[in-house]
Amino acid sequence: MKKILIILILVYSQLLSQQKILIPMDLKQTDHLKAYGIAYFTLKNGMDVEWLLNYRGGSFLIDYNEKVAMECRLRGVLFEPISGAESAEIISLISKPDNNMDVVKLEKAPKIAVYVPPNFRPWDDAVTLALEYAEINYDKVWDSEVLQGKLKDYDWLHLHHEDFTGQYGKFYRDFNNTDWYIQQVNINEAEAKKNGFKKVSELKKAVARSIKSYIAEGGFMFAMCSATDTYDIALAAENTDICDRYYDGDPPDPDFQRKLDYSKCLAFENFTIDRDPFRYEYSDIDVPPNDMAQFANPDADYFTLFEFSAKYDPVPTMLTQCHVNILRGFLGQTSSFKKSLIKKSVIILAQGNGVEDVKYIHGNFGRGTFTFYGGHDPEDYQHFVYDQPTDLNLHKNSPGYRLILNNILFPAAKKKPQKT
Amino acid sequence: MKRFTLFLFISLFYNLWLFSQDQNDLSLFQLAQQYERSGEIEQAEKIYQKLYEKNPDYFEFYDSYRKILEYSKKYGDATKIILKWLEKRPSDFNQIVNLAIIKFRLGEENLAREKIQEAIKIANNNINVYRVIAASLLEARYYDEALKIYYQARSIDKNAFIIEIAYILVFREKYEDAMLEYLKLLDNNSNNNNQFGYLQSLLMNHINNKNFLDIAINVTKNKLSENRNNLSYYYLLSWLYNEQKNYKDSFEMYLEIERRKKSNGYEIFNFAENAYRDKSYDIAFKAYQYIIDNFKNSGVYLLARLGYARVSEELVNTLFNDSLDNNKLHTEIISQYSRIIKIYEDFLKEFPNNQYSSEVEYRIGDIFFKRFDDLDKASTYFNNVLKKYYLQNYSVNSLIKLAEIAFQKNNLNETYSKYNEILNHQNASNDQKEYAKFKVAELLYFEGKYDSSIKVLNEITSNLSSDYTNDALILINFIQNNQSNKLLTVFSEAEKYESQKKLPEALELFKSIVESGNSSLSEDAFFKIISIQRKLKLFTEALKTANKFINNYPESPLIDKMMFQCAQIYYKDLNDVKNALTYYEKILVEYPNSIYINEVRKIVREIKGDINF
Repeated sequence: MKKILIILILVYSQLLSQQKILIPMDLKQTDHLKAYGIAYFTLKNGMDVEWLLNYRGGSFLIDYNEKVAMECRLRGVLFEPISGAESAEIISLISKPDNNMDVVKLEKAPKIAVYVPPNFRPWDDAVTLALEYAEINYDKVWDSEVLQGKLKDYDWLHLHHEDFTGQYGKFYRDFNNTDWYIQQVNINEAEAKKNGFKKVSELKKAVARSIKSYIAEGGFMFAMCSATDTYDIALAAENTDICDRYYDGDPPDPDFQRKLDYSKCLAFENFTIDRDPFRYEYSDIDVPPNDMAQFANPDADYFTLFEFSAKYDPVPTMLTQCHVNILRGFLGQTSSFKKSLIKKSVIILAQGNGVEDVKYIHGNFGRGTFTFYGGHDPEDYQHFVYDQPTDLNLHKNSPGYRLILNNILFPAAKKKPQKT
Repeated sequence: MKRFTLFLFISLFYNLWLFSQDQNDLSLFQLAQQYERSGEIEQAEKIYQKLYEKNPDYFEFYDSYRKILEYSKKYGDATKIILKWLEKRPSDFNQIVNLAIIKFRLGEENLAREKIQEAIKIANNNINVYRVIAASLLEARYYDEALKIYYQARSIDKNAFIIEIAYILVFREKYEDAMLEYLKLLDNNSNNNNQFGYLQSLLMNHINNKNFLDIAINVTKNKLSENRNNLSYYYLLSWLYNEQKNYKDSFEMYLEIERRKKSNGYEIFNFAENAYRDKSYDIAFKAYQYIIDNFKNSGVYLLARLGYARVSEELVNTLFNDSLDNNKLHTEIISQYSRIIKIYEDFLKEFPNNQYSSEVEYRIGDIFFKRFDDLDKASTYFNNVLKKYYLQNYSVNSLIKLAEIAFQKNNLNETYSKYNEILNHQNASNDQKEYAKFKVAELLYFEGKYDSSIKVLNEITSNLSSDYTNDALILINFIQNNQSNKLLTVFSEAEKYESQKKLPEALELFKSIVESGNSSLSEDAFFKIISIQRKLKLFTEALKTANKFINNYPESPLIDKMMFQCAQIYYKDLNDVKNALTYYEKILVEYPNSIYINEVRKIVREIKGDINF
């Protein structure tokens, strides 16, 4: 008992003597997105960061360092220098059992890979936009790298809004004569040939399986927009052909629906694949269907983040850290997920207006996890081909973008051994 | 009448055909189609099979059954019924092609190719057969096979399917071969403008792709070296160079076109005008010069002389932009602009009183005004424009300049008179009228006639689409906030001197406001003083003024603005990075909500680079 008391006194006196930087993440924060960049910058420079879950919107606490302070000033991130005593008070408040708060120690800057084609531009995708804006480094990987097993070098993988079904985004009807579509087809066909696959759809299935192995071995995967449902569709369609002749030259398997193996999917089950090769929709997972999206009303489209127990469910709590609980909705090729088609093992993190409208989900597979976030760009309600990229300088406090960045820091929360 | 008879005949034949089928079969056929559309392939297949087996020679039943078998990937069954169909109709080349596509899908490529050759032979080498076969192959995404068929068709017509072949080649990113195909459109139509325009419209789909554009240029260059007499190649290459913004090589092409076409300078003139519009002044200069040297009797000679003069002025402008204050360059500036004036005056002498004279006189006046500060000579030219060409385009612009000159000479009555003339000028645009109105209001403010000024400014603000509404609102606000301050007359007079470029006089008046003690105008006066001191290159004085402000007004909401001024003087004017950084960092630390913060962040990052531990 005496020893414990001495240790407690020592710890307390240490806390008192050390000045800290508190980066509040509530409505006072001037640039929420760059604040994540500061946390990443600190971790990258070998210092720890404490993530104060549910404390002032999920704030960050860092040992005082003039360089971190200057970096905050340069990036326009609001911070409060606090004394050791003040930080001890905050930690004590968080520790109280009746407060739904907790402290998570972030120890290591995660190594990030983004799955993108060679002709990718950073403004094609919300995640890369957020990473670029927050000044967080990432590497690009594509099919060959995935098949060569290079994902094991990374902690976190983001799937660009790719189509894992091999149907090139189902853009055939409107864009099959455009340069970018043609280039996309050629790049994918060349990649398939290079890796010994007759069809792009077969290549993508193999890539989806490799990514699944990466997750099983402890990787963190985050997908948005059409990368979510097409990923699961590709896994389910392992033993059948769902692509019409416009995409792979031969007709689909007429019995493909019956041959889908939902047990292979990460998040969805019992979905029905859209048979129309010209319809800009993959399956009935997407809510609302794309041909109904024109009737969606941006002023009435919101989704709500669920609250989890910070002390007992730290992972979903980390993923839902935000300064607001109700967020503006946004559409994409896959906007939200139909609730009745989500596996029971999957955690629902945010739900939209309708009973069936789920926006944000998370689940475990093997030793890793996956997170799916519906929609294309949180600050561009209905993003069309040829639209200008979003300028995040105008959306520094975007709650929708914040959710993306929660995912990036979450792998830093614990040290996990990677299989070699 | 003939058409009507034909229509009746077809209708009758169709109805007979319908009734010749069992009514039940037709209903079943429709049901199968419905099943197929709703994705119930198995059900549809069963009905089609039943109908086909009942009447295997009836094409609709046969074809629907064949298609659904292929869709269901039952290639063996599909092959059987095609072969059965062909037993009775061995010359139905469409079915032979269908059979060939099945063979391709089964990986029996040699057999598939044999079948296609069989179909071509049966159809007696008809060119349209090649088209149909290639279309089927394209639909099944056998691009390379389709390409072979198109090429084979050239045994009948060596120029067949140029666009189709080129399109596939572009799709396969074989840009060189694609361009060679496209160029065939020009090969036999060397002087056909329509064909050239058509080719341009086809290439427009691809030239945004830089790789394609570069390759297209190389291929066209090679073709040109093989056939130097085809003018279309020169036009095409010139256009492609223009798209690449390579005006130098484009000009070479036009020189060659001119040599060959002998258009008396017209071709070069068109090129020069395009280059001038695209602000490629160097090359436009060369092109105009070429016309002047070589086509003195051409119909475009006068316009080329005018273009030459305009582009010469633009070139000198780019050389001396913003360097008027630099004494070292002063002699050079005078010499260069004197040369330009001579070019314009020579034009006036050689081509007196034409539709371009007003522009030329205006441009000479503008050089005297802006570059030489010679107000009297400038007035002479602007007045000439008014006297000789009152109803032409440049008269309103000349009035604006004359008003500015009168203002600089402190002849305020004359200034009012010129602006009022603009307000009543029939050629003045709305924008010019709004400008004149604002200038009148500003003049009234300079003279201390604040109520009259506000009255005119209010008129401007009633037009929300005017470019001057914001300026008017700012001035109204400033006057109303300070109208009770007796120093406002001094302040507005100082601003008048500043606008008239009488900087020392303005400086003295602003200083007198500062020295007169704390007033609502003092803070503004400080900034005015610093601005003038920087213009006069009194940087140390400017820093002293800034520090005085910081000491006198520590609580001022403009303190961050003043610190930014100090930092900028150190950084931009004195090249003293260390001291500049002190002020920039002070803003970062003490004024995180300053409107200058983003700019400060950029500059500090620029100076310090990335921070590492």
